[in-house]
Amino acid sequence: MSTTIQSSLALPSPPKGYKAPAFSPLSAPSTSTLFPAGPAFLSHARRVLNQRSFEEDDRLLAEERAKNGGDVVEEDDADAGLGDEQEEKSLLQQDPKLWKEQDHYAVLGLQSLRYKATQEQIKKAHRRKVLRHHPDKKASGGGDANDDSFFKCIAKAMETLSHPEKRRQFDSVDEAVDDSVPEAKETNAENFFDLWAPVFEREGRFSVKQPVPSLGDKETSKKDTEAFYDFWYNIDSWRSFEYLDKDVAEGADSRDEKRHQEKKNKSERAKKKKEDIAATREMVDLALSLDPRIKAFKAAEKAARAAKKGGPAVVDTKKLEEEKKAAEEAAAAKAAEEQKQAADDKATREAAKKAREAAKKNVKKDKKAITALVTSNNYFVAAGSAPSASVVEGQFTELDVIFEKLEPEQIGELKKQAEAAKGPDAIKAVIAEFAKKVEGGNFVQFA
Amino acid sequence: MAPKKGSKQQSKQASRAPSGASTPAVRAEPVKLAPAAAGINFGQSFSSVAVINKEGLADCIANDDGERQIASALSFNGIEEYSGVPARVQLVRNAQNTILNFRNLLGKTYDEVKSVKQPYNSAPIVDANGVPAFTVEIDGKPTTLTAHECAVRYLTVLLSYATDFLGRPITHAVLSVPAEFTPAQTKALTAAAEEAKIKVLQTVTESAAALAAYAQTVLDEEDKVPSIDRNSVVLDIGGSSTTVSVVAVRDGLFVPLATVTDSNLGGEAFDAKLMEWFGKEFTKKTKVPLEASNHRALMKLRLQVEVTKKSLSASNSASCSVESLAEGMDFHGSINRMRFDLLSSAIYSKIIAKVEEALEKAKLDVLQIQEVVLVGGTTRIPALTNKLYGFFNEDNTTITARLDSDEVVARGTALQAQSLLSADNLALINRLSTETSVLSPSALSAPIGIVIGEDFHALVEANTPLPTRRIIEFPISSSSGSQLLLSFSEGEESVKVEAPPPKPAKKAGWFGGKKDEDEDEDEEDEEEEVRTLVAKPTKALADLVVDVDSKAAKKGLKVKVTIVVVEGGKGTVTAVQTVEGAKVAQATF
Repeated sequence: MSTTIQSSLALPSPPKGYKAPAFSPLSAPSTSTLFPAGPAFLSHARRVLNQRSFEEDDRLLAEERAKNGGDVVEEDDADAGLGDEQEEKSLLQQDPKLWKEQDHYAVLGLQSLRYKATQEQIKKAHRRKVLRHHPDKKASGGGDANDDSFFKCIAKAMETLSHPEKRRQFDSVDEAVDDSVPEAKETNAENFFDLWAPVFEREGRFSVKQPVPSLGDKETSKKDTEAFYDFWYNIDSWRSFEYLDKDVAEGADSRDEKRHQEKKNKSERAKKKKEDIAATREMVDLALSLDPRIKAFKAAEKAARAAKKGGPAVVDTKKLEEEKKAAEEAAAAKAAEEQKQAADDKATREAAKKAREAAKKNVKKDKKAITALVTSNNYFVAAGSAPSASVVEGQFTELDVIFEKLEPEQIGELKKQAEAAKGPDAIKAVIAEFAKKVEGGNFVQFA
Repeated sequence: MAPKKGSKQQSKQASRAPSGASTPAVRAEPVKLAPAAAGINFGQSFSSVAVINKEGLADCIANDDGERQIASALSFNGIEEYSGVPARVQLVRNAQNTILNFRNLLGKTYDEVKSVKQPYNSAPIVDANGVPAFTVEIDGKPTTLTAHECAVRYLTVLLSYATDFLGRPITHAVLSVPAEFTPAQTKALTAAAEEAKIKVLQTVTESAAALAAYAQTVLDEEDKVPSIDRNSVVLDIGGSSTTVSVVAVRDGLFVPLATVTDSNLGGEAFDAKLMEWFGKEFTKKTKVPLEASNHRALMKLRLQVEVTKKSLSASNSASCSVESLAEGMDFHGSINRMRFDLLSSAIYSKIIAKVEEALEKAKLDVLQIQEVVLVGGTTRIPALTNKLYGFFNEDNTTITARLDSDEVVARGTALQAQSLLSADNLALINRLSTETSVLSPSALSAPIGIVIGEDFHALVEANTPLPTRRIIEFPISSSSGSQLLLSFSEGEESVKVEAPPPKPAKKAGWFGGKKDEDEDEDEEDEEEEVRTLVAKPTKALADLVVDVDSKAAKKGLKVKVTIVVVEGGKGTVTAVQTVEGAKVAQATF
């Protein structure tokens, strides 16, 4: 293969008014001999003997490599990175006693995999690290054989990561895994899936039930989407916080103190677990509220309802949205109008009320006037004689019926005519005439 | 234990093959049990064998005695046959039945070598129907072994070591041959190997094998990455001969420019100096003369000084003790490095002279050598490296023995053998015998480079075999405008010799006693001149104007320049910004 030489020479820009100088061909080549050895010679011989140009040879080689070595390389690649990550100096110098603070994945060189590392990979990475950092090896390399601190770190990391329960405890509180949740502001219908799918995938690692349903995409059916959120609202998480337990202070061997610490740890764990559950729920809530699919489903439902009532509803999100927009606009206009109308109504109603009240007042007045007329005319009996109680009674009762049945205007008219009439008989006749207008009335006094 | 395992595996394979050859599991099997190949460095004095170990690295193997350098010697005593150091030990009592230095006799007629004297009273060369041979007593009967037969016996032994180590039979090998070997000698060596049941895949010149080993070894982190184009001097000092090869390394291709060999300059010359020294000391201490006729005593001392010499390379002083050296007198002496260097200063000068000769032959200046590769056990002598540093310019030449100088040739051949196990590669190598043009391509007679201002910066060095391609990436600085100019030109390197800057006037010597010393120093200084390598453009080849993005510098973009020169000397240069869809500027010359 060709190697690329990296030069550090700075190339000049062509001077102003640059004109190419006169060129001459290359000097005639000399003859030489070659030692037939080394890989470069084999390449040279291959090119010359097969009369291939450099490009052709590169292409054929690449093809051949793809054909032959493709699978093998892939297999190697899968394991290649295990335990080969750069070892920071601080990592190598950490104190094995502080193993709780150590990043076990970093120690085994599995930082890129972390919770995704399989047991097989952990085993392989551990093997590599042990081979590299074994104290015996150090001694042979001229190092200090007694300095086995990193070797101890490796052992501790392996102990933690190879035990499923311990690994879960460590994974639960693995600080190196980013636990940020995208904010509502930065999420929109386009990037929702890109932003949130990795979040759910990541948080899904705590689920007891595996595999965790995927967030899906825009095309995911309503059923699946609902199942997804159902799963997340009912997630059974193994996340626990034992790893953060505080140890009993050294030297304190009293049982009470131990119990006290244990109690404290337990409550702390419970608290953290509660917080975790709340945080997960909050996250799912947020996602649900931002999910464009859920919005679409709701709109579709609404459209379906509308279709049941009216014309055929076409389930088309765009149309739906347009419709929704139109509906919203209409509603707004309607509301404005209603508001206006309401204001108008109020005015008229108030006017009417006033008028009615005025009318009522008038009617009362009229009634009073008519009654007064009746009373002043001695109840239409001969002057000097006292009207019998029954007559008075009958007349008032009949008047009441008349007033009740007649419209206020008619009562006004009655009052006018009664006042205009001369003599008690004339008044009585007027009242009797109006009494006739009253339907179904059976009048004795005003007949 | 090991060979048993190998045979078991083999039988498994054999029994499986007919049953279902098409299943992938079975198909994968033969790859594992591919014919094992070794690299063999068959030297005149010492030999070594390397194989590819489980990690895929070339490993020089040790024989039963734990030696990685196996003496090229055969010895017969009664029905016993010895090889390696045990055979050399036989030189003390059984010299006439011990055979040394038989490799260089391969492929030669008796007449050509009859004047060669075998060392240390070992079996002399005799004529066997025109070919050189040795007469030794095997099981009481005088037997004549030709050089060829000796080589076959010796190679068989070497092969058995490798087989024992690998746990499966070695069937194929790449052999190294010295630079001065003629085709006939190479052919004879190959024939001997074939008779020892080794299929010779290829023969490789020793210096090429050493360079190939370096080319295929992963560098350590702290190592300086050598530039892909460099001029190397391969200094190979073996037991009995010295070879200096000047090789132009051009993107992994090795172009030999000059080779100088001295077959009488090697580790043994140092041994002789030490023998002389300790011999005198013995005589001084015991008043017993060490006469040249006292072969046994001389041989005892010789075997011991070899050990002393080796330990001197590791520590500052070393001792030499021989029991009952002569007339029942024991000898014990010691020597330090300084004494040793004084004794051997003439040899150092001879070696440096050889290097100088090679450079002259290659028409290169000391300044044009970027790398010295040390090969052969003798190059382990610390003072030699210092002398070489004094000769070469320490600033631009690295002297490397990163790979064990003893083993580097064997390891290079093993790596070559490994790559030839691929049928495609082997087919290529086999085609070389008929299509020799591959081995003698045309090469650039002058460097091609880029001119910036007045300065010439070589991109493709002279002596680069054609066709060739170089891909270079240049940074784009933030100050550059929307266009960049690349002027390609042919160049010329020369050594500028400058007189030293004038010294400040010497102060009058206040200290009378020191005055003389001061003067001496100054005189030395004045002789030294400042030599620098300067390169200047000779003729313009082509210009390219590349459009660049105004923000290219910020984006870390670069200008990628590709130079391709095909056989016959027609070249093409292309330049493009390293971003997709950028406009490609192209020119030919």
